[in-house]
Amino acid sequence: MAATPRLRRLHEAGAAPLFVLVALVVAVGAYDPSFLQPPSLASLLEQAAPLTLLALGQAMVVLTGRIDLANAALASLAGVTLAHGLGTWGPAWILVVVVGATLCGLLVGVIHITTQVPSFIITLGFLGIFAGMSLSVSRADSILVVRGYGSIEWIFYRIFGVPLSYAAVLLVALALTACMGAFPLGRRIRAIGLNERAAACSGIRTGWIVIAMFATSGALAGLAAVLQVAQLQSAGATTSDALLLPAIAAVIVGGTAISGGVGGVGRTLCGALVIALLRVGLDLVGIDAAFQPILYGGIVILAIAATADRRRGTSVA
Amino acid sequence: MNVRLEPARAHDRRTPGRTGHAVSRPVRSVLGSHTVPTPALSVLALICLVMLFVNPAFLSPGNAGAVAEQSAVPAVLAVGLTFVILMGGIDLSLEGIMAAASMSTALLVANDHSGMNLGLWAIAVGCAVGAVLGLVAGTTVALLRVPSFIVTIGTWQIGLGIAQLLFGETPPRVTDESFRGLADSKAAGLPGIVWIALLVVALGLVLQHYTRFGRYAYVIGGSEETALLSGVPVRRYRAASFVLAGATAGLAAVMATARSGVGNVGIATGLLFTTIAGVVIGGTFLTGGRGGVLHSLVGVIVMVAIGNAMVLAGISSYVQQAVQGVIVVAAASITLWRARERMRVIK
Repeated sequence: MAATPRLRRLHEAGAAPLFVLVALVVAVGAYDPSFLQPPSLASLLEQAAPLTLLALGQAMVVLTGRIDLANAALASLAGVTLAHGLGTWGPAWILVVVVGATLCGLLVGVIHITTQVPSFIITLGFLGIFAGMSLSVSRADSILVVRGYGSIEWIFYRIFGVPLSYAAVLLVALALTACMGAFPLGRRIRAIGLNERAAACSGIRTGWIVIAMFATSGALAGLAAVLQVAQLQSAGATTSDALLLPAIAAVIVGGTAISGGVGGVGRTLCGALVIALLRVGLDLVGIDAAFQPILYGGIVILAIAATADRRRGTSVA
Repeated sequence: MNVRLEPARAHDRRTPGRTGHAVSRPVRSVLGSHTVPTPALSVLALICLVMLFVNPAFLSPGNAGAVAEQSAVPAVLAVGLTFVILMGGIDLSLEGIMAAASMSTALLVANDHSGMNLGLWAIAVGCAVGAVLGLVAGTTVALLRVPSFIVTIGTWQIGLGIAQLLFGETPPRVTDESFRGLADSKAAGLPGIVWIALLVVALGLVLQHYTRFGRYAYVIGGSEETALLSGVPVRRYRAASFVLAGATAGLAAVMATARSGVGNVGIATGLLFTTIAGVVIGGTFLTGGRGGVLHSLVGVIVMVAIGNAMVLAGISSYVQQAVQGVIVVAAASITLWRARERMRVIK
């Protein structure tokens, strides 16, 4: 796509999403200078936090060439479960919910690998399962967290204007980057995404790594649910469902190839901020909220057309 | 060109052994072949048997009519979706397309919102809206070569956004009696939409058996590379399958709108699951190449019957979506179980 080798290198290093992010910040700032004040930037980061976590989980799965259509629904389920039990069980319940979400992700991965059914169909099925379960848990009503809210409220405090929630997200991102960089894991994940058969032939346990990525996605969905419950002080059966497409859009806008192998954590952070910023920018300009899904849909199609690697593989179904 | 209609056979280790007996046992050969959706029919029989004990009202003629009426809309959806899946693709945009088509149809017939009164021509417009959204997905998938599930998630949201833009403050109520009559008026004991669905299924069967489009669908799904090397214009047929799926989704939206009498953004909520689960349980392979319109029809009836049976058995409606999800996972796993191999790469 890039005209010269240097541009190409910049593109491959993930500079494109950063460039788009800076351009968007400048554009929104020029339209409404008050947006560049620290408090409004901090609230942008807070709004972006759950989306970023879901996008990071999705990115890990997409890096192996799979997709997780169930992670937003899992976040909704984790949210209602958390809100339901927080008053009775106290702070330990947070840990239980996050571990539970991890196990759900693990189950999805195990079923995908053992049955060898394409991931989008398995996760589509689990999207229905999780959605039905959260409807049963919440009885299709939103649950207000009254008792025990103190144990999660602190996540949305700001220290010297820096929102703790986004700092936590950055910590998670840092941990992921460290795992990817310091251990052979990162190389193995990319190898699976680029050529799974070759990876398996060179002794990488591809199945286990894919399962681990689905479990990571589940864990991050659980954490995203904690953030959302802390933010809203309530949880509904479909609270996080609307984040599915924005999270996928964030991954793709960040420059992670849907075919797998190319991408990373840092650029997904940029991608998530771009999507969050677009939402804020549209509200500022005063565009009808109904345009948002159209825009996300358009962005996903355009970004995927621009980033898909068409040189390898013929399977396009 | 000499084309084998079931290229997916190569995966099936059971078939060669069976064909030896087939000549001597004609009944078994029909049931064992892939032209009749035997597993789905047995599931249907099993449901009837269980319900005989749980709640015999399930088998009453009145309830059978209700199942037929509830199956009409997903059956029409399934006809279009079948061809997409036969070619190895997937269309997740049904709900969004139906939302957009339902809103535009409701606003174009006589209604209490806009001054339009196109009468039954609105049906054509509804189909056209679906076909255009399908064309967007189809051309993107075929020309830009990107996976269909992600593109159709995009068009799903685009359709939903269009529907929300058209929605305004309150849902538009359809006042056109001839349009509502599509659903209400009965012929030979069955409501109009059931007859429309049967007509669409019949057309789908003709398309599947007697046209180049139908035959190439099996070839492309069986092996896209073989199809390309044999000179089949794969891209064109793949794009056409999405246009067809969009058009049937538009027609399904028209039928659902006639049935409910209002244009509604959420008109198709949950239908994606019923339809995909139905197509899968009917025995159409998600990897393409095997199955058919008749399979999907039986599968959709099974799904609707399961939903109906759960209501009659007094199971909470919240659980139903979870059950449908389980069925999608289980049916896909069972139909594709035989094709598992070591070192097989499935994403």
